Amino acid sequence: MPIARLIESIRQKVDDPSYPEIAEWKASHPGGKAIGCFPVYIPAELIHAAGMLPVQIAGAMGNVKLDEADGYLQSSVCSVGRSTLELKIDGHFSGLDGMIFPSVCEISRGLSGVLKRYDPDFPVIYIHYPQNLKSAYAKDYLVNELNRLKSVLENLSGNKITDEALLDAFKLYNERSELLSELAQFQLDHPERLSASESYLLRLAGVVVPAERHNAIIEEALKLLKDSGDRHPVRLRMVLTGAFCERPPVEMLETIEAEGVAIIHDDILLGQRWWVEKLPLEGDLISILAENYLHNTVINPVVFQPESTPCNHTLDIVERTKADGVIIASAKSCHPAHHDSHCIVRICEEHGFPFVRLEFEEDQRVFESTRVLFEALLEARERLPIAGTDKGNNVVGST
Amino acid sequence: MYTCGIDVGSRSTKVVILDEDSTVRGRGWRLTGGKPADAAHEAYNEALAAVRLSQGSIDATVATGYGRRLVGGDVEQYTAVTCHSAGIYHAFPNTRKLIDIGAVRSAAVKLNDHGQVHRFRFNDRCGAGLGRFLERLAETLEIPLEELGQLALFSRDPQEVPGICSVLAETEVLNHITRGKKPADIIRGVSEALAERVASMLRQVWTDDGEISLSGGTAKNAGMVHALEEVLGKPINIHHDSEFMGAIGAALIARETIDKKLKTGTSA
Repeated sequence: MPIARLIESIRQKVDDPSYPEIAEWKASHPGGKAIGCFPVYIPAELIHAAGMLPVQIAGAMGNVKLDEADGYLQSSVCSVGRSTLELKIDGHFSGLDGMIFPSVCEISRGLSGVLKRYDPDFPVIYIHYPQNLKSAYAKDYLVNELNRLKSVLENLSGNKITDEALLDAFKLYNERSELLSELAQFQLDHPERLSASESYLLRLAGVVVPAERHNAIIEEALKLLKDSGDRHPVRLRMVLTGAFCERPPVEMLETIEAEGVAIIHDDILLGQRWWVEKLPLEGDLISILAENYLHNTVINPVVFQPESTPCNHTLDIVERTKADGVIIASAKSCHPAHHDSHCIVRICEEHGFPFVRLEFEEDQRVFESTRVLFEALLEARERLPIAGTDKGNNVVGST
Repeated sequence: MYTCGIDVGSRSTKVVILDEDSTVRGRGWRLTGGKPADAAHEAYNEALAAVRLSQGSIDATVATGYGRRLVGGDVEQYTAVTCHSAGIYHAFPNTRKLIDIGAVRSAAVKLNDHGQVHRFRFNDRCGAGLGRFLERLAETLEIPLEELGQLALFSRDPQEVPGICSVLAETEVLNHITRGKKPADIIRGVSEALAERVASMLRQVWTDDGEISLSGGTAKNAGMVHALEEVLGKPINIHHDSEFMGAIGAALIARETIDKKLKTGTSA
């Protein structure tokens, strides 16, 4: 099967908001339960080790109409928050046996409360991550929190989480990390063969299928990519940042790519690639999870790391990848993304990186402004200088 | 040598023909309406007739504006940001800040010392900073669009109008009408609200140096220009061909493409 066909088959699956894979999984795992995971990161390893299916919930990608959720949430709530509630109200979460929310922002916290009140019989778990990673108590605190989560999951599933099962889960997710790293490297090295929107779709498959099958899909994709030819014109190579939680519409990326702008690195679906290095397989496994959260987490806007902010990280990435510029794409009403976007703008200005700043929503369907932004950016960089001088740099566009 | 620029805007379509010295020799203008390609064709023929040329005499053509993709033939396309910048820099070489208030999209552009686009910002989704809002105001007040600007200058008691949302602004305009407020005062209030909106967009793209120029049809609105100058605290360059500035820029870029081809030895 050519790579394009594989990607197209995934596109059709991710557009279905009813999570049909949950029913399929339950049919092959009698008595098995499925747990929804709100972004950005939930320790799926623990859910898997409890014999349950971790289901990555990240909104509806515009595939449900927000009829009732707006009655519960104020308009300043991000789209992923509102559509997640709408999915629950519309019955799309009927296959889920519970849901976990992480302490990543006020929306996640508030939404967990709203869901609890909306359906008191639906198990809602809230996990508190330490905010001060440098504290001497951070690790002990997180070990306690993970053990609490472990107990809750054991009660829900009726299964004991054994070391053996957790070790197997570590291996499975380590394998996924490795495969996704390889995919990201291919996107960086060969943007003319693998566009960011295609890479994104391949990662999105992990939202709707179990990790075992997702790994098989990525493995197959990598094999197919190695034999594929150039399919995407590349006029400019840019890094995209700010879309780590709410999923941008695939069409937004395709609009950008249609102008010849290759996104060689992005932070979309960051929770899938949470660990920088693979998890160690020896020692107390809960302690390993806690230790790695403190010291092995990919730099992101929802874990405060004073020495390694997303701003410095963006600078490092642009320099490492030799990118031509930065796309600062923040989801509307995403406070962590907007907070960091200001210092990323400053970093770009200080270093003369061209950048485009835009805002998106998961249910956005019109991208004309996005297209014009990139057209104007490319024109400013490529057209003949009027006064016969050098090309302008640090071209900046925003809506 | 003649080059042509076609600016298919959402309200009107403008065409200019430049001669070898980059002087405007012919102009064509049509309301765009629902058939942008027809409007472009008619305005093009009008410009050709004005300079008594045939189509074959035009060496290169560039199209811009929202309907630029609908212009057929061997025509390159550039965005309005690029074309208005090129046109304004040609008209006012000291321009470092450009405001282009279009009917459905406004842009603030910072130019570098060579007239290149250095930084730009579009209006967000709200239509409160757009020319189309002035059209709606003219319709509501039953005053010709061309007379709005002059009338605003006679205002003695400007009425406050919110600049955040065009729908809310229109509601407030209706409230002022029912309270018997004078049209001049209402128009002045709307102009000030629009100017504030545009100024806020400008503040996000530039520093304080260089001249400011206004491009597009709104530049003909004296009340709007006055309001903008007050908000920005600086005079604004207005060109007598401001409405044609996008088309002029497009024709200048057409000339650049010829020069580039001649330089590189490829056929023009």
